[in-house]
Amino acid sequence: MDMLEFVVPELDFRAILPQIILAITALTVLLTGVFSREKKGPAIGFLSLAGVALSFSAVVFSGSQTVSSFSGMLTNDSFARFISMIVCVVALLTILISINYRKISPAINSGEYYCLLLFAALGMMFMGSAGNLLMVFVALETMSISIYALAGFQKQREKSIESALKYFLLGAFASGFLLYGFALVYGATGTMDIVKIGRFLNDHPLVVHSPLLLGGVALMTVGFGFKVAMFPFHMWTPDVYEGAPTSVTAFMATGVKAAAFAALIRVFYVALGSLQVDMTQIMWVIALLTMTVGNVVAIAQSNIKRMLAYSSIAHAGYLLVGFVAGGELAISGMLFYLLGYAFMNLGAFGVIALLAKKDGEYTELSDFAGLGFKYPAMGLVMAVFMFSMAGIPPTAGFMGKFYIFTAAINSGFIWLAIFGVINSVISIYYYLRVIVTMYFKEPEQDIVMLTPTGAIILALVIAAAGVLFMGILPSSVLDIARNSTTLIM
Amino acid sequence: MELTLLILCGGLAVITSLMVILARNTVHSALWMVASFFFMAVLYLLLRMEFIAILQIIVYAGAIMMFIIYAIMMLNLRQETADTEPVRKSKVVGLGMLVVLFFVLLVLGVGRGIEALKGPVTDQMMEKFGHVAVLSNFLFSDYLLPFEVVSILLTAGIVGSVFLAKKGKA
Repeated sequence: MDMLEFVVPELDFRAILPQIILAITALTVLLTGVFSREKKGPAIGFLSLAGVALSFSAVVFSGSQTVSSFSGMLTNDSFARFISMIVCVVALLTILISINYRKISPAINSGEYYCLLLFAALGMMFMGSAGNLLMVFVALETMSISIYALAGFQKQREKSIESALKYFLLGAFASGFLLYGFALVYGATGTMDIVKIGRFLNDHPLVVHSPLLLGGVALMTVGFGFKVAMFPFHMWTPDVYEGAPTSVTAFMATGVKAAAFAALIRVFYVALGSLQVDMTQIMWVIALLTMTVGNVVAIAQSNIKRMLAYSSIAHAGYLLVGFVAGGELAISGMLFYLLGYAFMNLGAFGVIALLAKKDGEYTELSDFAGLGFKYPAMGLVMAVFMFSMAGIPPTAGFMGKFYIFTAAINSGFIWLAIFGVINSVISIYYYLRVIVTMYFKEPEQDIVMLTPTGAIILALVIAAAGVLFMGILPSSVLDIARNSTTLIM
Repeated sequence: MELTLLILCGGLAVITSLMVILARNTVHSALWMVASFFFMAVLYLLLRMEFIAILQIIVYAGAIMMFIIYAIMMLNLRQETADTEPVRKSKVVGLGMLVVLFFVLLVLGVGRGIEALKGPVTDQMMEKFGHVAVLSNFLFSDYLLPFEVVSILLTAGIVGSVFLAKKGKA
């Protein structure tokens, strides 16, 4: 019998060095957690921190080439590298928050927690650099499955279990939609390679409006829409964000959003670029509704985690404005916004995590009363994060919105930009309410005692510094973002 | 002939899958799942992937189903959960949406006249080298990266489920 010749494809292992480092660290951390006698100390946390830092430097020093390797499965371009950088920043700050949070929730200080956290980060990185729909799906599942489990890590809290189960069931459902969409697109084009789909649709305009492809695109939009918390697929967000351990919520709100937007941008701009005109006609309505629903419902929330969950829906709406606008300016604006959003959201959740106690979490807005004067430093950074989310200068949130709305106006979506600004004004109400409660409300019960450690202080300082740096000197970060809009076509 | 078989087995796979979630008794659910795996194996056969069809039966209908039935017995889930919930409005709406979606998906493939791209695998190639050779060749060359990432995905799944299932204070 003849033998099939085995041709080894080009395997560029240097391109996946950051991911390899993360995988090795995750497994090391898992084993260390099992074999170490010291169960209370922060050693595992610092070990994972070192791994992420190493991975971060591998991303930064990986050069500036634009190549695809592993038979097109992996695209190593500047866009993918920027997303990897955001993921590393998110993972670093989350680990710093978790090192402090372990006192409230001992389960967090286990090898399993950090292992799953690093696996999720690895999945996020691959989502940013996936060059094939199959790879997008596998990376998305790696990220999601890790986070389903992370959401249920506080097993004694019913809400945490509810959050994990809800996220798992709805997430599995959304994955089904996404996979069905991929299958239909594969049926219409005959390939799963993102670049090849783009070329095929360019050469065959008849396929572009075939029902098979359009059905696939619709189902894919549902799948991605679920992950970025886009209206009308946002219903899970408040329950899941409220129930999950605060450190995990911070990770979910920032990392998942960045990774899902990265995959959305690559699939829709590169593979389905021929459909962009048709897509914007639907997406601008969705962007408008996502912003408005998030902001309006957030006003009515008294629990700060739920409020931030609705605010994350609103921020997904702002990012979708950039997605509708399209073009290099919009991509760089979205990248800038994703990084800024990571800093401010992780900072805000870090403060909430700091407030938690063994006997329960203090997540009601009234728990913040009087905290501003009792703990001036914490009040100050929280105020910075809230100002940034509301989009008040000189913060990252303001500059990010500025770039995205500018891109929208340049692309002719003036009304969308106007509605975006109106939405920002609405959002100021509930963000400022947190600051007002901190400084001008008399506490009804005893003020919570805070026990900050070095790790959480470092996390909050980094987050606040990042927010202010990107707000005051935005050009340095924007330059990197501008150079990161290269997508392999 | 092939088309008849495809429609028959595809339809039966859908019906048996529905029975998995509709059956009130968990053991019945598990048995419906075995049936659904068998019909799916036939679908693989129709795609000329004998190897995958056999794997489907050995691994899923055989080994994994045994685990699931063991788990059901150990957890003592055999009692019928006779929850007679009132039919809520959301359920009716959901069912309506499901039917609409089903028919939309049914007509999607109709009326295309354009040849899609074709992959490198042909019937002759499969005849000549055998399914396992062709499959493994692609798995370890073009699809190496997803293959490796799947191993991480499975590790994450195991770690997560063990942690959530294990007893003790946490």
